[in-house]
Amino acid sequence: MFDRILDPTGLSVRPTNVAVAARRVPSLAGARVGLLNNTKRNAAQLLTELGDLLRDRYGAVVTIQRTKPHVAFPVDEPMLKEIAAVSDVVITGVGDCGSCSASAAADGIAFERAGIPAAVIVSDAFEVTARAMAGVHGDESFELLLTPHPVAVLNAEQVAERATELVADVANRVCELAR
Amino acid sequence: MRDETRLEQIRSTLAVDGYQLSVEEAGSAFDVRITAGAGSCPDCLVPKNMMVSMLAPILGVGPDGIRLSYPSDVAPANRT
Repeated sequence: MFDRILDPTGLSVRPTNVAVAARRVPSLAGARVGLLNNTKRNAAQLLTELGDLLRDRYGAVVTIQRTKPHVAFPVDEPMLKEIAAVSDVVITGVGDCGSCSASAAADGIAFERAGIPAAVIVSDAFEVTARAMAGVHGDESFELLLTPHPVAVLNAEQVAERATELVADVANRVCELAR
Repeated sequence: MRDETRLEQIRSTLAVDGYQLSVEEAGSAFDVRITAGAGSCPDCLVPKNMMVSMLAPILGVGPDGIRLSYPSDVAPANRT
């Protein structure tokens, strides 16, 4: 017997017709950073590198790092709440395929609606998919942070370079002062 | 009216993951078939209801106007 039916789009549990942006943090100094890895190859390393750079350059502190159980599905409510409870800002990604870019966009919108500014990293080949999903969730103009495709094939040094290229955009995305 | 530019963008995006998209008009509806090429990424297709939601505004019809077939389907079926 079914206990409940899960909707992989996440549309059944969240409002879909209103774009809602969380208030940006005034400063990243001391800001708590949550990292949500979607299991794509190199996602964990890229997020870790970004967390380290936000610490070293802006004084932020990574408080939590979680991995989604499935790349194609948006973050579930318990994990979202767990991360939001100990984070002032969230970084998620990497949208490096069709399903994961779509779910990454949905994740970012879900965090924004929970009051947490979110930086969503998507490879440029999948901007269309991520933006289409953002539109389905009522926020077609949701700001994505794009990085050249692909990410999965990069070596460790190249991933670190990508993080260095992205960190200012991440800071700008979540912090009022950095804008 | 279908948006050929955005449809081509979706087609190109699917191709990156190893999938081909074909769209055929069938009266006021569309038969959309996605097929897997060699080396396609099995986890990279969005769920079918998500794909229908993304394609509906591009094809200019409601979700009920799209019959979507995925590689895992035995035969074309209505959206799930």
